[in-house]
Amino acid sequence: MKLAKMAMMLPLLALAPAVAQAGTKCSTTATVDATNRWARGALGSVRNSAEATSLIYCITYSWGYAFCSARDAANVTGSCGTSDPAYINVLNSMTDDAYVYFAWDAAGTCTTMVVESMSCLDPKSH
Amino acid sequence: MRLSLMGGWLLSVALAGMGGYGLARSTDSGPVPQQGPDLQTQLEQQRALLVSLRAQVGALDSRLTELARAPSVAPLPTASSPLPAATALAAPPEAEVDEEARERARVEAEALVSRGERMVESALSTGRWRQEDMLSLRALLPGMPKTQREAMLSRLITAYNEGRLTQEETGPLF
Repeated sequence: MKLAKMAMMLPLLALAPAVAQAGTKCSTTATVDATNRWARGALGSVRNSAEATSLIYCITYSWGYAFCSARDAANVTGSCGTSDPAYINVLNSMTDDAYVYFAWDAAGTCTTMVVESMSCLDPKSH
Repeated sequence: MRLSLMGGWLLSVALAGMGGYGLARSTDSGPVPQQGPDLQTQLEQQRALLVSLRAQVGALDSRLTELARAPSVAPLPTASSPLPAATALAAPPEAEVDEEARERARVEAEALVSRGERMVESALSTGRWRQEDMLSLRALLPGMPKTQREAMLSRLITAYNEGRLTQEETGPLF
Protein backbone atom coordinates (compact mmCIF):
# COMPACT_ATOMS: atom_id res chain seq x y z
CA MET A 1 0.00 0.00 0.00
CA LYS A 2 2.80 2.36 0.96
CA LEU A 3 4.70 1.51 -2.21
CA ALA A 4 1.65 2.15 -4.32
CA LYS A 5 1.30 5.65 -2.84
CA MET A 6 4.92 6.38 -3.58
CA ALA A 7 4.52 5.20 -7.14
CA MET A 8 1.62 7.61 -7.58
CA MET A 9 3.68 10.54 -6.25
CA LEU A 10 6.66 9.98 -8.55
CA PRO A 11 5.20 11.53 -11.71
CA LEU A 12 4.20 14.63 -9.73
CA LEU A 13 7.69 15.00 -8.33
CA ALA A 14 9.13 14.74 -11.81
CA LEU A 15 6.92 17.60 -13.04
CA ALA A 16 7.58 19.94 -10.11
CA PRO A 17 10.98 21.34 -11.23
CA ALA A 18 9.74 22.01 -14.76
CA VAL A 19 6.86 24.09 -13.48
CA ALA A 20 9.14 26.06 -11.15
CA GLN A 21 11.61 26.93 -14.02
CA ALA A 22 9.04 28.31 -16.44
CA GLY A 23 8.68 32.10 -16.34
CA THR A 24 6.11 34.42 -17.77
CA LYS A 25 5.59 34.37 -21.52
CA CYS A 26 4.65 37.43 -23.51
CA SER A 27 4.06 36.70 -27.16
CA THR A 28 3.55 39.80 -29.24
CA THR A 29 2.73 39.30 -32.88
CA ALA A 30 2.94 42.17 -35.35
CA THR A 31 0.34 44.89 -34.91
CA VAL A 32 0.08 47.92 -37.18
CA ASP A 33 -2.24 50.81 -36.41
CA ALA A 34 -2.17 52.80 -39.64
CA THR A 35 -4.70 55.34 -38.36
CA ASN A 36 -2.70 56.32 -35.30
CA ARG A 37 0.59 55.55 -37.01
CA TRP A 38 2.27 53.04 -34.75
CA ALA A 39 3.42 49.46 -34.98
CA ARG A 40 4.82 46.88 -32.60
CA GLY A 41 5.89 43.28 -32.40
CA ALA A 42 8.42 40.90 -30.93
CA LEU A 43 10.78 39.45 -33.50
CA GLY A 44 10.55 35.92 -32.09
CA SER A 45 6.76 35.92 -31.84
CA VAL A 46 6.35 37.25 -35.37
CA ARG A 47 8.78 34.72 -36.70
CA ASN A 48 7.00 31.84 -34.88
CA SER A 49 3.58 32.98 -36.02
CA ALA A 50 1.53 30.35 -37.86
CA GLU A 51 0.60 32.70 -40.71
CA ALA A 52 3.13 33.79 -43.32
CA THR A 53 2.19 37.43 -43.84
CA SER A 54 3.41 39.27 -40.77
CA LEU A 55 6.88 40.73 -40.61
CA ILE A 56 8.76 43.23 -38.50
CA TYR A 57 12.29 44.55 -38.87
CA CYS A 58 14.59 47.49 -38.32
CA ILE A 59 17.72 48.43 -40.24
CA THR A 60 20.51 50.89 -39.43
CA TYR A 61 22.60 52.29 -42.27
CA SER A 62 26.24 53.37 -42.27
CA TRP A 63 25.28 56.76 -43.72
CA GLY A 64 23.41 57.75 -40.57
CA TYR A 65 19.89 56.52 -41.04
CA ALA A 66 17.54 53.93 -39.56
CA PHE A 67 14.36 52.36 -40.87
CA CYS A 68 11.72 50.20 -39.20
CA SER A 69 8.84 48.44 -40.85
CA ALA A 70 6.03 46.11 -39.79
CA ARG A 71 3.28 44.23 -41.58
CA ASP A 72 0.52 42.52 -39.66
CA ALA A 73 -1.43 39.39 -40.51
CA ALA A 74 -4.05 41.53 -42.29
CA ASN A 75 -1.29 42.88 -44.59
CA VAL A 76 -1.41 46.39 -43.12
CA THR A 77 1.98 48.07 -43.36
CA GLY A 78 3.57 50.73 -41.20
CA SER A 79 7.10 52.10 -41.56
CA CYS A 80 9.26 54.99 -40.54
CA GLY A 81 12.73 56.33 -41.12
CA THR A 82 14.99 58.63 -39.15
CA SER A 83 18.44 60.15 -39.14
CA ASP A 84 18.15 61.13 -35.48
CA PRO A 85 21.21 59.67 -33.71
CA ALA A 86 19.17 59.06 -30.54
CA TYR A 87 16.81 56.74 -32.43
CA ILE A 88 19.69 55.03 -34.18
CA ASN A 89 21.33 54.40 -30.80
CA VAL A 90 18.14 52.82 -29.51
CA LEU A 91 18.00 50.50 -32.49
CA ASN A 92 21.61 49.49 -32.06
CA SER A 93 20.61 47.87 -28.77
CA MET A 94 18.12 45.62 -30.54
CA THR A 95 18.68 41.87 -30.13
CA ASP A 96 17.49 38.91 -32.20
CA ASP A 97 14.40 38.35 -30.09
CA ALA A 98 13.70 41.92 -29.01
CA TYR A 99 10.33 43.67 -28.93
CA VAL A 100 10.09 46.87 -30.93
CA TYR A 101 7.53 49.64 -30.93
CA PHE A 102 7.69 52.63 -33.24
CA ALA A 103 5.46 55.51 -34.27
CA TRP A 104 5.65 57.94 -37.16
CA ASP A 105 4.31 61.20 -38.54
CA ALA A 106 2.59 61.99 -41.85
CA ALA A 107 5.97 62.23 -43.62
CA GLY A 108 6.98 58.76 -42.46
CA THR A 109 9.55 60.07 -40.01
CA CYS A 110 9.89 58.14 -36.76
CA THR A 111 8.54 59.97 -33.74
CA THR A 112 8.99 57.25 -31.14
CA MET A 113 11.23 54.24 -30.92
CA VAL A 114 11.22 51.64 -28.15
CA VAL A 115 13.29 48.48 -28.02
CA GLU A 116 12.76 45.93 -25.24
CA SER A 117 14.70 42.84 -24.28
CA MET A 118 12.66 40.75 -21.86
CA SER A 119 12.79 37.20 -20.59
CA CYS A 120 9.15 36.68 -21.42
CA LEU A 121 9.69 37.25 -25.13
CA ASP A 122 9.62 34.29 -27.47
CA PRO A 123 12.87 33.13 -28.97
CA LYS A 124 12.76 32.22 -32.62
CA SER A 125 11.97 28.51 -32.71
CA HIS A 126 12.08 27.79 -36.41
CA MET B 1 79.25 93.28 -63.70
CA ARG B 2 77.48 90.08 -64.54
CA LEU B 3 74.74 92.00 -66.31
CA SER B 4 77.27 93.79 -68.52
CA LEU B 5 78.77 90.46 -69.41
CA MET B 6 75.32 89.21 -70.39
CA GLY B 7 74.81 92.25 -72.59
CA GLY B 8 78.16 91.63 -74.22
CA TRP B 9 77.30 88.01 -74.73
CA LEU B 10 74.04 88.90 -76.43
CA LEU B 11 75.87 91.31 -78.72
CA SER B 12 78.43 88.62 -79.58
CA VAL B 13 75.69 86.19 -80.41
CA ALA B 14 74.06 88.73 -82.69
CA LEU B 15 77.34 89.55 -84.41
CA ALA B 16 78.24 85.90 -84.77
CA GLY B 17 74.88 85.28 -86.32
CA MET B 18 75.35 88.09 -88.75
CA GLY B 19 78.86 86.97 -89.57
CA GLY B 20 77.69 83.45 -90.09
CA TYR B 21 74.94 84.66 -92.36
CA GLY B 22 77.46 86.69 -94.38
CA LEU B 23 79.86 83.76 -94.62
CA ALA B 24 77.09 81.46 -95.70
CA ARG B 25 76.14 83.92 -98.40
CA SER B 26 79.72 84.34 -99.61
CA THR B 27 80.34 80.58 -99.81
CA ASP B 28 77.02 79.89 -101.42
CA SER B 29 77.74 77.91 -104.57
CA GLY B 30 74.50 78.99 -106.17
CA PRO B 31 74.18 81.90 -108.54
CA VAL B 32 74.44 85.36 -106.95
CA PRO B 33 72.60 87.78 -109.13
CA GLN B 34 73.23 91.56 -108.98
CA GLN B 35 76.22 91.59 -106.63
CA GLY B 36 77.44 95.22 -106.99
CA PRO B 37 74.99 97.75 -105.56
CA ASP B 38 72.93 95.08 -103.70
CA LEU B 39 75.90 94.01 -101.63
CA GLN B 40 76.41 97.61 -100.61
CA THR B 41 72.75 97.87 -99.64
CA GLN B 42 72.97 94.68 -97.64
CA LEU B 43 76.02 95.94 -95.77
CA GLU B 44 74.22 99.15 -94.92
CA GLN B 45 71.21 97.23 -93.72
CA GLN B 46 73.40 95.00 -91.57
CA ARG B 47 75.15 98.05 -90.14
CA ALA B 48 71.79 99.57 -89.30
CA LEU B 49 70.72 96.30 -87.76
CA LEU B 50 73.91 96.22 -85.72
CA VAL B 51 73.25 99.72 -84.42
CA SER B 52 69.71 98.72 -83.55
CA LEU B 53 70.87 95.59 -81.77
CA ARG B 54 73.48 97.56 -79.81
CA ALA B 55 70.78 99.95 -78.70
CA GLN B 56 68.52 97.07 -77.65
CA VAL B 57 71.32 95.35 -75.77
CA GLY B 58 72.10 98.62 -74.02
CA ALA B 59 68.46 99.04 -73.04
CA LEU B 60 68.28 95.47 -71.76
CA ASP B 61 71.48 95.98 -69.82
CA SER B 62 70.07 99.08 -68.11
CA ARG B 63 66.82 97.28 -67.39
CA LEU B 64 68.63 94.35 -65.80
CA THR B 65 70.67 96.72 -63.67
CA GLU B 66 67.46 98.39 -62.45
CA LEU B 67 65.90 95.04 -61.63
CA ALA B 68 68.99 93.98 -59.75
CA ARG B 69 68.86 97.14 -57.64
CA ALA B 70 65.15 96.80 -56.84
CA PRO B 71 64.30 94.92 -53.61
CA SER B 72 63.37 91.31 -54.34
CA VAL B 73 59.78 90.38 -53.58
CA ALA B 74 60.29 86.66 -53.31
CA PRO B 75 63.38 84.98 -51.93
CA LEU B 76 65.58 83.20 -54.39
CA PRO B 77 65.25 79.45 -54.43
CA THR B 78 67.63 77.57 -52.20
CA ALA B 79 68.41 73.94 -51.72
CA SER B 80 66.09 73.75 -48.72
CA SER B 81 63.20 75.34 -50.61
CA PRO B 82 63.52 74.16 -54.19
CA LEU B 83 61.82 76.27 -56.83
CA PRO B 84 58.92 77.80 -54.93
CA ALA B 85 57.95 79.91 -57.93
CA ALA B 86 57.89 76.88 -60.24
CA THR B 87 55.83 74.93 -57.75
CA ALA B 88 53.40 77.80 -57.44
CA LEU B 89 53.04 77.97 -61.19
CA ALA B 90 52.67 74.22 -61.65
CA ALA B 91 50.05 73.62 -58.97
CA PRO B 92 46.83 75.66 -58.83
CA PRO B 93 46.10 77.39 -55.52
CA GLU B 94 44.68 75.19 -52.77
CA ALA B 95 41.41 77.12 -52.62
CA GLU B 96 40.93 76.58 -56.35
CA VAL B 97 41.48 72.83 -55.98
CA ASP B 98 38.98 72.69 -53.11
CA GLU B 99 36.46 74.60 -55.18
CA GLU B 100 36.89 72.24 -58.12
CA ALA B 101 36.55 69.16 -55.90
CA ARG B 102 33.44 70.60 -54.28
CA GLU B 103 31.91 71.35 -57.65
CA ARG B 104 32.68 67.86 -58.92
CA ALA B 105 31.19 66.28 -55.79
CA ARG B 106 28.09 68.46 -56.12
CA VAL B 107 27.57 67.40 -59.74
CA GLU B 108 28.02 63.72 -58.85
CA ALA B 109 25.60 63.99 -55.93
CA GLU B 110 23.02 65.67 -58.14
CA ALA B 111 23.36 62.85 -60.67
CA LEU B 112 22.71 60.30 -57.92
CA VAL B 113 19.65 62.21 -56.75
CA SER B 114 18.31 62.39 -60.32
CA ARG B 115 18.72 58.65 -60.76
CA GLY B 116 17.07 57.95 -57.42
CA GLU B 117 14.20 60.31 -58.21
CA ARG B 118 13.62 58.63 -61.56
CA MET B 119 13.60 55.24 -59.88
CA VAL B 120 11.10 56.30 -57.21
CA GLU B 121 8.93 58.08 -59.80
CA SER B 122 8.85 54.97 -61.96
CA ALA B 123 7.96 52.75 -59.00
CA LEU B 124 5.19 55.09 -57.86
CA SER B 125 3.71 55.12 -61.35
CA THR B 126 3.58 51.32 -61.50
CA GLY B 127 2.92 50.80 -57.78
CA ARG B 128 5.52 48.04 -57.71
CA TRP B 129 8.80 47.91 -55.86
CA ARG B 130 11.07 45.11 -56.98
CA GLN B 131 14.10 43.74 -55.19
CA GLU B 132 16.33 45.14 -57.93
CA ASP B 133 14.84 48.59 -57.25
CA MET B 134 15.72 48.16 -53.60
CA LEU B 135 19.28 47.14 -54.42
CA SER B 136 19.76 49.95 -56.94
CA LEU B 137 18.44 52.58 -54.56
CA ARG B 138 20.53 51.18 -51.74
CA ALA B 139 23.63 51.75 -53.89
CA LEU B 140 22.68 55.36 -54.65
CA LEU B 141 21.66 56.50 -51.18
CA PRO B 142 25.05 56.87 -49.47
CA GLY B 143 26.31 59.43 -52.01
CA MET B 144 23.23 61.65 -51.94
CA PRO B 145 23.02 64.90 -50.01
CA LYS B 146 21.21 64.27 -46.72
CA THR B 147 18.29 66.64 -47.29
CA GLN B 148 17.44 65.32 -50.75
CA ARG B 149 17.95 61.72 -49.65
CA GLU B 150 15.55 62.09 -46.73
CA ALA B 151 12.96 63.83 -48.90
CA MET B 152 13.12 60.96 -51.36
CA LEU B 153 12.87 58.30 -48.65
CA SER B 154 9.94 60.13 -47.12
CA ARG B 155 8.07 59.85 -50.43
CA LEU B 156 8.89 56.17 -50.65
CA ILE B 157 7.93 55.40 -47.05
CA THR B 158 4.63 57.29 -47.14
CA ALA B 159 3.68 55.60 -50.43
CA TYR B 160 4.50 52.24 -48.87
CA ASN B 161 2.51 52.99 -45.71
CA GLU B 162 -0.48 54.17 -47.73
CA GLY B 163 -0.47 51.06 -49.90
CA ARG B 164 0.42 52.96 -53.09
CA LEU B 165 3.58 50.90 -53.39
CA THR B 166 3.77 47.14 -52.99
CA GLN B 167 6.89 45.09 -52.59
CA GLU B 168 7.12 42.19 -55.00
CA GLU B 169 9.38 40.18 -52.70
CA THR B 170 9.56 40.05 -48.93
CA GLY B 171 12.57 41.90 -47.62
CA PRO B 172 13.80 45.35 -46.71
CA LEU B 173 12.25 48.30 -48.51
CA PHE B 174 15.67 49.88 -49.18
